[in-house]
Amino acid sequence: MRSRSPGRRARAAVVLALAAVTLLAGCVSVGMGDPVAGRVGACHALTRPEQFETPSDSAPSVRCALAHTTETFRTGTVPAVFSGDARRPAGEVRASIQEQVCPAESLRSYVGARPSDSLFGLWIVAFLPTQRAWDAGARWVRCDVVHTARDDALEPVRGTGSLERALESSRASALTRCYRQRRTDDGALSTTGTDVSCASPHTSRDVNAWTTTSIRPQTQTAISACVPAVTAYLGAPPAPDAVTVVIEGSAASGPWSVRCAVVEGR
Amino acid sequence: MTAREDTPLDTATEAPPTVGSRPVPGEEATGSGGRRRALRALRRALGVLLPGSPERVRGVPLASLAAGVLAAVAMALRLLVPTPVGVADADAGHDILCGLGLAAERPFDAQRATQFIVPQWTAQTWYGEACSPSPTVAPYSPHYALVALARILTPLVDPSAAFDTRAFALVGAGVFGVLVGLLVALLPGRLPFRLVAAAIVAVLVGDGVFADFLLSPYSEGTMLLGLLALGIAFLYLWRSPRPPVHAVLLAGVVCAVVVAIDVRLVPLAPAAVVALLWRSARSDTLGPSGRRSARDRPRRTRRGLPQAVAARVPAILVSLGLVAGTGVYVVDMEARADSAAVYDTVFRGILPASASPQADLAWFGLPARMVRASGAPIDSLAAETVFAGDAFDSVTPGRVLLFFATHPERLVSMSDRGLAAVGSPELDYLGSFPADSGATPWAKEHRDPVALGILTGLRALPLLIPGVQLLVLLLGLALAARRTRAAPARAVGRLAVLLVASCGLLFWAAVLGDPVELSRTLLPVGLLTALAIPLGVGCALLLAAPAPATPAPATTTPAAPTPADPRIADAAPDEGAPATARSPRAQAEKSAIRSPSPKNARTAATTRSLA
Repeated sequence: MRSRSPGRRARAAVVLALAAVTLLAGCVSVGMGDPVAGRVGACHALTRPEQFETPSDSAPSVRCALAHTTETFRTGTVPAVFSGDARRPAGEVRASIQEQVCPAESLRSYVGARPSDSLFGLWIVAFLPTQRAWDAGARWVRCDVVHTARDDALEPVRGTGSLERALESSRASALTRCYRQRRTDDGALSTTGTDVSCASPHTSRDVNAWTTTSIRPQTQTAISACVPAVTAYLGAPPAPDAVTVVIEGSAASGPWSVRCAVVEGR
Repeated sequence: MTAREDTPLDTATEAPPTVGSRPVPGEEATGSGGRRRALRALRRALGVLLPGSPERVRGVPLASLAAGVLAAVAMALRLLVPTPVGVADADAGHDILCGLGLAAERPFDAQRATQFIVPQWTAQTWYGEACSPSPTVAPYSPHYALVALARILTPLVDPSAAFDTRAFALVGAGVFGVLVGLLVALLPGRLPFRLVAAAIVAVLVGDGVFADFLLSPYSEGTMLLGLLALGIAFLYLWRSPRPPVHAVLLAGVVCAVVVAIDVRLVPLAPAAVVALLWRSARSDTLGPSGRRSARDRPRRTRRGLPQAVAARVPAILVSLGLVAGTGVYVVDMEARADSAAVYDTVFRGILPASASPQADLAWFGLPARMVRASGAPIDSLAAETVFAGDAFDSVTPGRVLLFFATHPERLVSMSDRGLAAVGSPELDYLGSFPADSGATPWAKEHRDPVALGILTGLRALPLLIPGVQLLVLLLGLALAARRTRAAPARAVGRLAVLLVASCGLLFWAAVLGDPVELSRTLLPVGLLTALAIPLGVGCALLLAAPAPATPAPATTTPAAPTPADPRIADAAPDEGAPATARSPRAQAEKSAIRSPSPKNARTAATTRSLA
């Protein structure tokens, strides 16, 4: 029978030890996201839809200087009404927790939005502990902001740099809402338009004053209602043709939404 | 070559010409003579498709090879040309393949992701619950063997992808071709009959509701191939009156492989165990009339159970292994499952169909306020009341089974839902085409709608599906019990019985275990139901086929070999011939065994190799 040399045994032992260390490292790595919610300002490279559909995120964070898709802007704890659940919340319950723990106001504060800034392409996603961490008693909530290419779909944009106080920087245009409207025959802007970021070609800028009505308002009435908001945005009374509105809704879908905007790019 | 081999159809021997059927001179020119000739030609043409009772069928290997290649090519073309057709992924595919470090290049919008198929998968490192293990496909599932083969072929399809479901389709088509080839080789009857039967199977499996899964990450495609493989394994096992040990082992291994594909196939295990033990140890002692010889009958009776057990030792051992393996497998998969299945059964299966849901909740020991979760998805706010405390922890799968045992009337409504799902197997919420194909969202393809048509037709009458299965079961039992038929023909009867039994087990396991996505869970039942119809027709044809020609009674043959002679006991009869009906070649082999010589020894070895 062939005997194995001590050198071969030693190499085998080293390989086994390395394999064990690798496995242990893998376990630690996967569990990193469980014990704590993470820190505000941490960035995460979540590039797959499944990573957003899962209630938890255990992927290691990345430096914000590197390409990433989400950034933690707030941490909190699960409201008491849900914290006693044996099963870690998901779906609608997760959405409800997100509304309570990660309100839009806290995001506005994080990105440095003024009251007249209407945010565009910023989504909020709440991550919870894994089921195992939940079973162990973890009840934290991690609120992440996701910069998306479209406002109506979660399609993350890979970006670099932090979103903290971003609306006070040159990036503000890319994160605020503007409209692209057609001109009517009399030269006025149409009351329907496409939502775009203000970094894109646009005809008006949203001043973050929305109202809803049960019946479709007259255009002139809606414009008149928007004058105070535009005045606050401009810091002075606007010219007669500087105020425009975007009216959304239909008789079938319920209330009408009136968005106030100031004409730009004339 | 015998005279029978020269006759392409048994009508000449099976149906003696009636008086007056032969045209008389001068009659050929008349209309009635022409009609008779046409009728005879039609009968002859149709007769070619009947199984008949050929002693030997020539050209089987070549026909099997040709049929297999043709089936594989047809399936590959059907899945890939002119545009790939498959099944869009609604996350279950992600659960199956993410463990391999793969991610689909799917859109972020979940709704758009189900509109079209996405064949390309790229490498991805997953962390934590973003890659949860599939609750039905174990890491050691044979499905991953096909996936591994597909990953090898993927560079041929898309060099930039780590895995491409089009390559999986190629692998699936190849396996399908092998199975069709084996089917032709193992079916009884004349070659045209075998080819027609295999073609019918290919057309049914090739229906989009089944075959499209071969171009998807789902395990359903592998499951459907596994069901075919299981049937073929048992055809091979049963084609010999005394199955050799290797055939028993092969059938056991195939059973284990098929059950391991997906935990939803576990209900096949009990049927497979019974099938493994189902053998006719006495059939090789039948006399030419299909009855046992008088000499054997009392001896068998005396031996009784020990003899029966002794004759089944390999099958018993394989069955024990299968049962033990399945038990370990179920326990392992149970550990992976969460409470979602139980929730779905109670709150989306039992309560919505109940006249008194509060009473049902009370039976389970749950508070009445949980009734607001009736019919609600598990991740809804309504379901929050169920998981708010630990009351639901006491509701186990066993308790759910106990509920059905004590409320058997509930099975009626559950079976209605199940039968409706079997009759509507098309998953219209998952698209079939790629986004760049020009197809509309969620469009399904219907180039081969045969199985879909059959199942939809069976849905028209509520009890038609179980009625058809009962008929097939009776035909199968009749054929399996017909001792004048050769073992390969009786194997078809047994296969029909196995198919119907499997159908029932799979049906109830799905209906009681996963009432939410029944149409998908019951796809194997749909395939087996569609296959049951041609199988039933095949059983009827084999029952109606003329009894094979029999030689002179065995008692007149001097020194006729007995079953105790291992040389005969191990040898299977020729294709389609009963154990006692010997072709001239078999007679020569028999005499060779009686008088050994160097030349005869070679012949004896040939006989043994036929087993």
